[in-house]
Amino acid sequence: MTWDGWPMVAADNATGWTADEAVARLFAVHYRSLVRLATLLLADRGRAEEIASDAYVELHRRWRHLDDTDKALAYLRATVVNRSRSALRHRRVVEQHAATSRFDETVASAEAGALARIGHAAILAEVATLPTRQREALVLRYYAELSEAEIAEAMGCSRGAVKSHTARGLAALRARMERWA
Amino acid sequence: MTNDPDRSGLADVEAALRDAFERRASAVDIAPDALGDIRRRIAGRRRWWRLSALRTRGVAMISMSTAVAASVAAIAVGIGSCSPATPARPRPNVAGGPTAAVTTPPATTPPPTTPPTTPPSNTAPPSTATFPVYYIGANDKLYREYHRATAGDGGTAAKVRAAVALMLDGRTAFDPDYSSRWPASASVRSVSVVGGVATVDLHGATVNGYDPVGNRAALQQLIWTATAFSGGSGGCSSTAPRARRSGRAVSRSRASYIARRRSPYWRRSG
Repeated sequence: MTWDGWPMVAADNATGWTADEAVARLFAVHYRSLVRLATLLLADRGRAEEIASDAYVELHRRWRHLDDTDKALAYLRATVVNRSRSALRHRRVVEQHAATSRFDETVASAEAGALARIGHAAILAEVATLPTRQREALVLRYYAELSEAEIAEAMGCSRGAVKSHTARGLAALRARMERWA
Repeated sequence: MTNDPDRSGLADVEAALRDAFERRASAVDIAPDALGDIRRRIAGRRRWWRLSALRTRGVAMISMSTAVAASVAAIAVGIGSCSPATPARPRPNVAGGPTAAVTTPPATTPPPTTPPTTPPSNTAPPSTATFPVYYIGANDKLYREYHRATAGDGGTAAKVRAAVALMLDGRTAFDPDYSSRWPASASVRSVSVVGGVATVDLHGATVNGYDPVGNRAALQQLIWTATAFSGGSGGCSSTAPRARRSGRAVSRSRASYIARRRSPYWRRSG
């Protein structure tokens, strides 16, 4: 472990990849799904891509301390979740109105039957109104299909908290969907 | 079919969610030259680092001199502010945000008057206080934000604890570009303030291992946050699971010294 300030000499770690290589390889495998993850968290397509690429730039910086690819992926995910959360908070500060409208406009372009489309749009709009942590827990579980432990790591909280965020989010959605029925 | 309506209702919601997420996600594709863009940003960052090594030297010298002045005044303030009875002075420095940490010193602040003889910690209800919290912004520099939060009994240790807890979680920063260099698992185990020295015991503070720059930035955050509440006083010792952050008492002047020697943390306001 060096303590000597100036960084950025690409160094190998346990995977045997240099930082540049790691970025390229992990980009090929995970970039698209990370952009999608950020899109679901944020409901903002342009910002989502920016956040995903931020995560790779950060990964490059920290590469020598992430000694396996699982850790690297976990790091990328956590960075995306964290930054999406920050971006969302920032957006709420600048524009006080709800984020739901953004979901509607983009969802409408999905390929699906009209009826189904309305259903999806409505669900996503409801998801967008949930508290941030609940939405994160739901997206990480039902989109990214992560385990409780992985979600906890990505969200930076305990597994118990993940459980309760997920349960509360689901319960809230169910209550709203029952109202439509 | 199932005799648990609760579960079956949730299963429908789960299925609907999976479907909705999947459809929404599949409509998203990535920019054609995303990898090229990332590589350009990484290259730009490398250039920045080389430049900044030269550029920040002058700035850091200035930081140093103000910091020393601050630490001289701090001794008096530190002693006076050991008492938990001293209330936090909410600082209405709204210009706060990204001003230079080193220019906020309590050098001109008179030491608090003699503290009351009995600390009111037993009877005081949870009180809120405003205190500066230091985050890491662009290029690993330290930025300050003023946060208002509940601080236990309102005692000094409680305030340090609250401030450090905020500091550990970068997501608490108002500005989305600020973050914390501490790992997400880090939490405050205990804080004690004795004789003007705050001892902060952290848990889960080393998970992924850190790069040297990040390590120092984390340490700077801790020192500045832990010492800020009392008006910028004296020393702070941290005990973290691994040796590097363990047990050594450090002060702001020492922190600035490290900063000057090692890395360009300080951003001066324009």
